[in-house]
Amino acid sequence: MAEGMESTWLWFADRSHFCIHDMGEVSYLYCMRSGDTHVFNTVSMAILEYFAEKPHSIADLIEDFPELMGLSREECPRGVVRRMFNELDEAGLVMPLEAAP
Amino acid sequence: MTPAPLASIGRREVRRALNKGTLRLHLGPFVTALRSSNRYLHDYFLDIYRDCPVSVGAGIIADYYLRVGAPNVLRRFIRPQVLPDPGFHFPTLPLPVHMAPLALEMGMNLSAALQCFRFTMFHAGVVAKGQDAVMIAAHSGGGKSTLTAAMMEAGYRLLSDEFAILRRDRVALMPYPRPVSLKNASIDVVREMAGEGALSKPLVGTPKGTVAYRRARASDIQAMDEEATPKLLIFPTFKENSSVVVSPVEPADAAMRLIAGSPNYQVVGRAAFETTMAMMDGLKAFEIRYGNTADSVKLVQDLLGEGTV
Repeated sequence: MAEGMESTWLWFADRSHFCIHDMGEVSYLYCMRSGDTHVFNTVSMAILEYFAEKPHSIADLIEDFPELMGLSREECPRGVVRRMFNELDEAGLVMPLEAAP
Repeated sequence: MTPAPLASIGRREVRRALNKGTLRLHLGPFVTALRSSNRYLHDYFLDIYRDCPVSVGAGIIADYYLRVGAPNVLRRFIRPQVLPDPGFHFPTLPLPVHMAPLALEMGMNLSAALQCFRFTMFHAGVVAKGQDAVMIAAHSGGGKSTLTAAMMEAGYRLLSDEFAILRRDRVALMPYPRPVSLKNASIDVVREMAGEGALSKPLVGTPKGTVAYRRARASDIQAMDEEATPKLLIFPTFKENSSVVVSPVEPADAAMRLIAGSPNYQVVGRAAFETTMAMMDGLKAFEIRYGNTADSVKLVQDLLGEGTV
C-alpha cells in the first residue's frame, strides 16, 4: 500500500462477521465472509478491536498503538505496526470505509 | 427391505445386487449405494463387510452412489483396470483389476470426505472406551491406522479408521466403522494381535505398497449408532526403535492441525467452528513418538486416564 494513502483511508472491522472463541492465551476467530479460521494473539486482537470500535486510519493506529498496548513508542516500531495491520488486511478482516478526497 | 447383516443374505443375491447397483450399505450415519461387477471386489466385500447391515432394492435412497469398474470399455478386456467412480470427477489413477478392494475403500473415503456436509469431518482414526473417545490424527505413515487397530485389540471400540465425524449441534463423534487400512509392516503387527482371520488378503504392489484391511468387529458394527465424546487427541509418530516420548500440544495448535486436515470444515462453516471450539475445550492433545505398538497402546491408555481426571 502506498504511504500517501495511509493518512487518508479509513478502515474498519465488522464484528458481525466474526465468531470469536478464547482458548488459553489465544483467540480463535471465524470469519463468516471468508469461511477462514484465524488464531489471534492479544496484540492482533487488540488491533482488530481498535478497528471494530470505530473506523480509523493506519496513521491513527500507529499513533495510538503504544497507548493501546501500554508500551513506549520506541517499543512499537512503525514498520511492525504496519505489518500487523497488513496481515489483517490480507486476511480480509479489515475493510476500507472510504477514500478521502 | 429392512437392513440385515450381509452374512445373512445369500451370496448370490449380494453379487446380483452389486452387479445391478441395488445394494445399499447402511453404516453409521451414511447409506452408500454400491455397484460393481468386479469379482475381487465381491469376494472382499462379502468377507470383510460380512457383519455390516445392507439392504437390497433400487428404491432405497442413498447418501452416496459409488461405482467401481473399468475406466473404459477397452480396459474391461485388455490388461483390465478399475477405478472408483463416486459420481464426480476426481483425479485418480486406474488400478489393476485385482486391486478393486482398494478402489472400493478409496471411493468410499472420497464419497464421505467430499460429499458430506451434515457433519464436520476430520482426518483421524477414532476409538472409544465407554463414551470416551480417542482421536488419532497423523500424517501418512505416522501410524494412525496401526494404533487404531492396536487399540481395538486393547478393548476399545472402533468408531472409524479414517474420519472423526463431529456432529454440528453438539460435541459428539459419530461411528462409521469401516475396515482399518493397514500398510506394509503394520499388516504383520496387526495380524499377530488380531489373528489371520481378521484381515483381508494383502494387496501387493499398490501405490501405497502392500495393503490389507482389518475387519470391523461385529461388536463395533452393533454399536454404530452410539456416539462418543472426544476426550483425547493424539498425534502419533512411529520411529523404529524409538523410546516413548510424549509432549502436550497446545489446544490452539491442535485445533489448527485438525482443521487443516478437514475436508469440509470450510463448507460447513460457522457450525463447524462452534462445535470444533467446544470440542477443543473438552479434550487434551498430545504428540507421541513411539518405537513399538505395545508402548503406544499403554501410553494412550494412561493419557486417557489422565484426561478424564
